[in-house]
Amino acid sequence: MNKSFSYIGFIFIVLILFNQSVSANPEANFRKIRKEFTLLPDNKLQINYYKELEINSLMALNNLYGETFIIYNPDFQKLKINTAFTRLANGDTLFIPQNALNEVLPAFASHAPAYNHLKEMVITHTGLEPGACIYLDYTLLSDNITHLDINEILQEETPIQEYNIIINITNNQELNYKLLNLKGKPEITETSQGKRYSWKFNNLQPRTHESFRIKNRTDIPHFMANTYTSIKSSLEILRDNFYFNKNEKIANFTETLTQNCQNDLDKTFAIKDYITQRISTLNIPSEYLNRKIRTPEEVFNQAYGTQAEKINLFIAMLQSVGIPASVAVIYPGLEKDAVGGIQPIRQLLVYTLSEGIPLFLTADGHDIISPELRGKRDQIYLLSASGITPLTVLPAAGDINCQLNLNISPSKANLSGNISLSGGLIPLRPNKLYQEKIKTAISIPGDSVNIRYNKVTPFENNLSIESQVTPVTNQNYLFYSLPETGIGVRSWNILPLNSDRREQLEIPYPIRESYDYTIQLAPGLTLKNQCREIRKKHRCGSVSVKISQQADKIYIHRKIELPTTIIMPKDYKHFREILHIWQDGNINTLIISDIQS
Amino acid sequence: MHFFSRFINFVNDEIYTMMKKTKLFSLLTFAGISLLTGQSRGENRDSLAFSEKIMQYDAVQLLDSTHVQVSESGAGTFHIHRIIKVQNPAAALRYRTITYDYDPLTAFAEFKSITIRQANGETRIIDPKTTCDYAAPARAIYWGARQIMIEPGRLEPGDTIDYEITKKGFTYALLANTEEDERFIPPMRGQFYDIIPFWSSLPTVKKVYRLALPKSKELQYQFYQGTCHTSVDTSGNHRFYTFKVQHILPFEKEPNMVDLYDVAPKLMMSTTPDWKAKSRWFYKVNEEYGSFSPTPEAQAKVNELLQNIDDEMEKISVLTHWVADNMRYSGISMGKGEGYTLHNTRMNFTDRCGVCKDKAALLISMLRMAGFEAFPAMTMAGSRVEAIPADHFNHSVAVVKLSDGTYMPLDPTWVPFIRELWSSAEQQQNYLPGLPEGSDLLITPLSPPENHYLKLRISSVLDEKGTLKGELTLEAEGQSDGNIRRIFTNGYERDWKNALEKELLNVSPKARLIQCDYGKKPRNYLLAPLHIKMKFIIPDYALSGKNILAFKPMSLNNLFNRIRSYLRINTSLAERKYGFKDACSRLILLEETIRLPQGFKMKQAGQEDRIEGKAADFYGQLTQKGNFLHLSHKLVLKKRVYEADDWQSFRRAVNAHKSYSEQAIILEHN
Repeated sequence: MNKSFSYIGFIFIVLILFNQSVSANPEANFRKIRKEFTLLPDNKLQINYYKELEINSLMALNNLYGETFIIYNPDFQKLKINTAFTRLANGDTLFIPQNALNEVLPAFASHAPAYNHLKEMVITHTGLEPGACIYLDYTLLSDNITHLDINEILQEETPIQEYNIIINITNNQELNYKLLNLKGKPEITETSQGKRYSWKFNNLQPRTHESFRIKNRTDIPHFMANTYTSIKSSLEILRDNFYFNKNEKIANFTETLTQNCQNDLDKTFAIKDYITQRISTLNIPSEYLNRKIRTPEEVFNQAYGTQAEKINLFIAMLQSVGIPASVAVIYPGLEKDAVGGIQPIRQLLVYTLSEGIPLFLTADGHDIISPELRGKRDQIYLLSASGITPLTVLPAAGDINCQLNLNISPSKANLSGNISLSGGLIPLRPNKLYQEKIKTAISIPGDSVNIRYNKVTPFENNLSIESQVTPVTNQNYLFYSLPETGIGVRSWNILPLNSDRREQLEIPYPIRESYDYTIQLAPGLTLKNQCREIRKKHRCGSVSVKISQQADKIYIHRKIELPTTIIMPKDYKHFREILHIWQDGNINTLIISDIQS
Repeated sequence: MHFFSRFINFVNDEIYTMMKKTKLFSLLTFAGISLLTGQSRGENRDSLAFSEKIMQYDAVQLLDSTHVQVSESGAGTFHIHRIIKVQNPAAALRYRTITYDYDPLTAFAEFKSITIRQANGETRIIDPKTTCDYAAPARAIYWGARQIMIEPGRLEPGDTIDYEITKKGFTYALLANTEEDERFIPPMRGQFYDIIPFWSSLPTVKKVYRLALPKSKELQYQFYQGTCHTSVDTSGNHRFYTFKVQHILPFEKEPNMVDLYDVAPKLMMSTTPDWKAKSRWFYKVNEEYGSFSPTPEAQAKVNELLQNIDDEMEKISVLTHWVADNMRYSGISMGKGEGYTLHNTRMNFTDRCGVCKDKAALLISMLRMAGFEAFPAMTMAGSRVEAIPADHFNHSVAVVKLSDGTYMPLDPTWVPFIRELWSSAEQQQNYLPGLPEGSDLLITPLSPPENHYLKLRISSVLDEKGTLKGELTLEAEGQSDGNIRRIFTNGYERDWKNALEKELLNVSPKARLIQCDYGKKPRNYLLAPLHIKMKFIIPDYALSGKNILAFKPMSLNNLFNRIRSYLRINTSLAERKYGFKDACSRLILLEETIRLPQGFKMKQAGQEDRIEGKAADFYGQLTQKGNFLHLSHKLVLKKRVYEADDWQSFRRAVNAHKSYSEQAIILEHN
């Protein structure tokens, strides 16, 4: 009996210590969050939000939770603050005064007369002090909502003790839902209107501030639910908001814009440049506009648009000059039981083909990692006037292979060699611009860099290069950093990484990168680096580096392979070690002694 | 005034015509206009040179005109007229909407007209009724500030936008024949002031400011840091002041320079006789409102905080830090009087939030409840306040009277979690206390560098493979303490260890934090200056080869660079025309001792520097004694705001300090 008690006591103590190390005195604590979604008849959606938030520190009241911000669109939404008060540390109740409720324009709607009516309700929580607790309850009622469409990340900056999600639907609806990293089946009850689904999640951990987190957020508590009958039905609703008819004004303008273009690729990029440089981008989430967008002509005349609007204009312009194009909808790639919906969509792009080559183009000028390199992490659908089709891309991996020769003398280092790139690492551009893009991307160091483009295709490039660099001299030693391309692992700027990690880590794309250097030193120069060979292989990747010398030639081989884009926490230590070996200065920096030393 | 309008219209039409044509034609037409307006040959040359230079800019401001009519109450009307020519696509996007900010509690604004003269010769008139008038986006201050916005829409290079705005409000005269609206009358009734920058981010052909002031009011004015054409004439009951500058090019900035208000052309004017009058008014308006009236709840808090404390400075410190830390910066409106009236004690203590003036008010109130004499003060964070009492303030603070009769400034807005009562990020800053007897403009003193020390001691061992293992101790005070302590005061406790590890990782990605000690409660900044101890190991820290090691001293290799604000000052500039700024005066003390592997000797000769100057001193040494390498640095940066002629002294010292890390230390094994 005594032994049992000791054992139980031991377990109890371990659990307490574990909890303490995980929570580490949180600055604040959500005692409760409750979100209730009710689909009402006549296409109304009622969302009721309630929170109890305990303030434990000055940091929380000064930096985190002084205000609550609620954005809504009075065109189709009504906001009602049901109650807002602070329970002070001494137990008194302080209701927030009227002047603590202020409506302003959301910042993302600045300089956009068409969206000037959007509102951001700022609720200033008065009376905050350590030991106080915020209570807030509000209701948002939306018109013209035909379907429930929920995509919630159940994480805050501080822990959540209890998170309730309640969904009420009518009898003629079915609920599709998917929980990621959440356990618990819903409690389902019959109501007079239909059905009520209720989930309760406890002790949700706060978000981390780790770098290179999963873009699709599939590794953290993530709740998705909707009442669409299928993925396609949700996309039909989205597609119906786009305008695919020809517009004469836009057609005439585009004809003039592209009149000097030599081919469809030129035209595509001339139009892209116009869209990105001549039309401002508004980053208004489409949920605040009930997915509605203005016509391409309005966007054109007013010179600004949301992401969806700019994409629509982009497509309209392409189609007007005979280039077929679609909206590419990018979803997180969920392996099974994907529920679709519109809220979970991560991004919209323009999809077109240029001489059989698929192009995925943004409307805001930002570069993206190509869907081929994203592979199965994403799921793509194409929307056009003719229909909705899933698109399967051929997953690709970055492949960089360099054979480089170096001739090093005391005053200069001559570099020459060959670089092969494949996997679509460098996005396609028209003609000469593409060569410029490649040159910038590979960023070979040195003065008078010469590049011969032996092969230039969207998925494969082969280049011959020459350049000259002046090594760094220090106390009659030369220090020379071995050149790398500007699009490999180092370009991710992933290091430094902390030694511990809680969440999964996502690298931009799978990659294989290798360099073989043959180095000839001028007479009198000696390599001081130790010959060595290091290898590391793990399921998350591998690296091998070798320095060897034969007669007056030095051979350095470096290779890294990272086939997996998602690194699990249990593999993190090995992944980090692989990167450290890859970027080890003892291999990447040559130390050469001069004749005078 | 009528003639003046006609003249402006004539010039505008000529300018439009000119700007529509080719560059050469523009130059010729410009020359022609110069002749028409009777400019001299020298002025013609200037016009041509100007018109050549402006072609490279995104847009040109053909006219920037402001006319102000002030009434006896001090209320006024502004008439703003701008003409902007778009020269490239970037400007076409920037000017597709025009916005203007105003405060509805004290002002009213509307677009009167907007005309687009297109490059293709067509003209579009935008109906002012299409103006949007809305609550502006906001963060931290929620007083209901508004914007008006009008939409020119899609523009092309070569288009010209011509718009006019009328605004009435503080210091602005009303439109004729309407009753005065109380809200437009400035708080210092009957007084008028204005501050007009005469620099521009756009090249400007002509800038005009014209003021119509009742003859009964005496105006002080001065044009600083430049010249302008000034005229004063009288008509009826008004005196008209006109200030004009032509051919303004965007001000050529230097990195890290002082605020443009300190060096660029500006016009300042005021009818207030002197700063003392302003000071007395500021005192009176808040006393009359009752900003500092005590409340039982606040008194109870004061009693609780000051229990068993007798020392004068300790009382002031406790109250200042309590307000700084516990009243967060978030402003909600009190309604009428917002912007210049300090919220009262009840509102401040209950809400526990406010902007700078409200935090100052609560502190003043609590100090008075503790038996001190305390008053509000206005200050200008970021630039100099001139002798002309033109109300060039953007911040409110407090002053307390000490037992020796002197006044001490306090700033509860800038010292949350900082071990100061007045932030030294505001040293050398003008302020104006609101005292019953009035006060002149004052300036906060320099804060000695030793008040903001960073002491870094590192003791380590380097082995022949290049691994560095050791211990570092960091001590900091003042602004240096506050900067590093932000890891704890602004960061999540669950992230503290990672944040400290990150400082080591910035030195080398392979660094490992073995142990760290930052005290039990590093957020409790009042206990003592910051003291952190870290044990570390860094494999492959030194590049290692056959009988050679190469490395940089850790203390000079990106360690805690967040605090070394001087590193962000560009010392490659050989000369400076203008003053420059650092975050704060500072003392950096580095002591690093490395035990070297047996038989290794530093190849370079040791280094020693001793530099003393007006703005900065530097003492540095790098030597090897036996098996130990010693690095010792003392960098003394004496000011926050420096004058241009401090540059060489500052630059010499900082460059000497940086030179120790420009190249690696080479160790050779004999």
